[in-house]
Amino acid sequence: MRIHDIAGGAVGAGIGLYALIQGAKMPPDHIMKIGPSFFPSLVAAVLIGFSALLALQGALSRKPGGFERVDFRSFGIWRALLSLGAAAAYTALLRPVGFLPMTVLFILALMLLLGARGPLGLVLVPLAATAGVWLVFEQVLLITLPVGLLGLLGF
Amino acid sequence: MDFGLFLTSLGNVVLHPSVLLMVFIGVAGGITIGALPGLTATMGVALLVPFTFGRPPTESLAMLLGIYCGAMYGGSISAILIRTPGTPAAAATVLEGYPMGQKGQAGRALSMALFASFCGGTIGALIMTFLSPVVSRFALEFGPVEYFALALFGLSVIISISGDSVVKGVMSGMFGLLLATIGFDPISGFPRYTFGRVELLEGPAFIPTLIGLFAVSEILNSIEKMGVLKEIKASIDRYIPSWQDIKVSLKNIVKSSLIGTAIGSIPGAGGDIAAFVSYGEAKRSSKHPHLYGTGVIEGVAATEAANNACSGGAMIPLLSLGVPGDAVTAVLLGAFVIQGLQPGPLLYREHLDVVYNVFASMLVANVAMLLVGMAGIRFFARIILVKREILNPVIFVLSLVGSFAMRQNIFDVGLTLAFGVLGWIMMRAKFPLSPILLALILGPMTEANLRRALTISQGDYSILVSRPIAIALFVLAALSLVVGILNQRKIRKLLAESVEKGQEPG
Repeated sequence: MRIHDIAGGAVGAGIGLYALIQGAKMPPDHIMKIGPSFFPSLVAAVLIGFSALLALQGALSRKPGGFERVDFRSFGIWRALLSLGAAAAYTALLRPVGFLPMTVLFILALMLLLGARGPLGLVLVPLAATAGVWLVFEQVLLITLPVGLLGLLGF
Repeated sequence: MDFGLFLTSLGNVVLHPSVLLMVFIGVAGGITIGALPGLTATMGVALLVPFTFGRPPTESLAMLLGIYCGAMYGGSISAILIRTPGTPAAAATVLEGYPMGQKGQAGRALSMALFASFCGGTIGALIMTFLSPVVSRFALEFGPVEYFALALFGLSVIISISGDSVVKGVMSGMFGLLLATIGFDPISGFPRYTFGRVELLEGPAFIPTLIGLFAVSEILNSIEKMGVLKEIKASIDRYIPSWQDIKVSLKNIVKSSLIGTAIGSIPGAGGDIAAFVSYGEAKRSSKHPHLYGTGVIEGVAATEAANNACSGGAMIPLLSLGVPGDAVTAVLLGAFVIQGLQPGPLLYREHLDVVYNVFASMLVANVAMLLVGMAGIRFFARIILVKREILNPVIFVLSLVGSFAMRQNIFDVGLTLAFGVLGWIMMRAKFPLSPILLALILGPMTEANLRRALTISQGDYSILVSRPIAIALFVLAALSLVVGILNQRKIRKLLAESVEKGQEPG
C-alpha cells in the first residue's frame, strides 16, 4: 500500500469537490445556455476520477517509493525552510523598506545561511548583485522598483 | 514573389551599416531580455518601441524584429542553466535542457538551442517570405470549433510529459486547467474561484506562476540538497553543436520548424504551444522515448526550432491580414501604425518594399542571433559554474523581482512563493509540473472556444465534429493520446528492465 498516493488522491479529489461545490453556486446562464460553471465542473469531475484511480493504485500497490520523505533531522530541510521564511519576509517588507536595502539584506542572509564565509564575498556579492538587478530593471527597462525608506531620504 | 525586390531589400539591410547595427542591437537586447526571468519578448518589444520614434521604418522594424528573434532564443538560456524559462515559449526547453545542464552538458545544450533556434527562425522566415498569402488563407478558416480542437490536440501532449505516471500527469493537467478557470469567466464575465482577491480577477498571473513552479521550487530543492548534490562541471568547449548532434536532431529540427510555423500562423497560438506540441511529436517519433526527461538533445532541438519558427509564422497573418499571430506581433502592429503603415492586404499593394524589408530583416536577424549567441555561449554557460551559495541567493532575487516586474505588484511575488512551495511538494510526491504549465497556457483557449462553439449551436455537441479541420485535429489528438499511452508503457517496461539489469536509466 502506498499511503502517499492515497493521500495525493484524497487531495486531488478534495480540490475537485471544492471546484464542483463552488461551481454549483455560480449563476446558470439562461441566454447563452452554458454557464460559467460548465468547464470547471467538467475538469473537476475528470480530476476526481483520476484522483480515485491514483488512490486505488496506491491501495493495491505492493511496491514502495514514489515519495521523497521529509527528514526533519537533516539540516538541509531546515535550510530550505529558513530560506523560504527569508523570502516571505523579503516579500512582505519589499514595499515598506524598499528594494535596495531589502535585496542587500536578503542576499547576505541567504549567503550566510548557505555557508558562504569569505568576508569580501559577503560584502561584494550582495552589493554587486543588487546594483546589477537595479540597473537592468530600473534604469534600462524602466520598471519602478519599490523605493521604501530611501524615499523618505529624498531618493 | 518578386526576387529582384527581395534581393534589393536584403541589400538594404545588409549593406546599410545603420540598419545592420539596429538588427544587432535588437538581437543582443532581445537575448538579454529573453534570458531574464519574468521579461518576455512582448515586454522587450513593447519597451523598445518608443526608441523607434522618428527613425526610418527600415531601421525601426529591423530592430524590433531583432528583439523578437533574440528573445525567442534568449529564453532557452535560463531554461537550460537555472530551470527558469526566460520566456513562456522556452518552458518546454526546460524538460530536456535543464537535465543536460545538470549532467555537465550546458554548453552542448546551449549550442544546440542556438543552432535549432537559427534553423527554426530561418525556416519560419523563409516560409513567411514565400507562403504568406497562402498560409494566411488557411488560418482564416479557423473558428471556435477549430481552435477548441487545436487546444485539445495541444493538451494531448500531457501524456507525453507525464513522466513515470500518466495518472499523476493527468491530475496535474486537470489541476492546471482548474487554475486557468480562476478569474473572470471569458463569456459572461462572472468572477470564479477568486477567494475575494481583486488580483485574481484576471486569473493567476502567468509569469509569476511559471517562475514559482519551476524556478523557486528548484531553488528550494537545490538549497535543501546542497552538499548532497554533486558539483556540476560544465563543459563549455563548443559554440556550435557537433556534427553527430546535428545529425541526430536534424529531422526533429525540420519537423518542429514546420510545426512551429504552422502553429505560429494561427492567431492566438504562440511559441509556447508550438514548443510543447513539437516536443510531444519528437518524443512520440523517437526510437528512445524512455530517455526523454533525462536530457535528450533532440528534445532541446525540437522545442527551440519550434518556438523560433513560430515568430516567422506569427508574422504571416500580421502582414497579410493585419491580424497579429501572437502577443509580440500585436505590439509590432502598433509599431507599424506608428510608422504610418497599416498591415493587411493593402500593405502588399501600397508598401511592397516595406513587406520585403520585413522578410529580409527577419532573415538577417536570425543570422545576427546566431553570431551574437555564439559570442555569448561561453559567458552564459559559466553561470552554472558559480558556487551554489552565491548562485542560489542571486537567482532567488532575480526570480522574485522578475515576478514583480510584470505588473509591479507584490501580490504576484507572494503568488510566486506559493507556487514555489507547491512545486517543491509536487516534486517530492513525483507529480510532474509541466502539465500544469501546458494546461495554464491552453486552458483559456480550450474553455472559451468550446463554450463559443456550444453557444453558437445552442448546446448541440455535434457542432464539434462538423468541420473537416477540427475533425483532423481531433483524430490527431486521439492518435497522440494512444501513442503517448503506449509509449509510457514502453518506457515503464524499459525502465524496469534497466533496473533489473542494475543499470542507471538514461
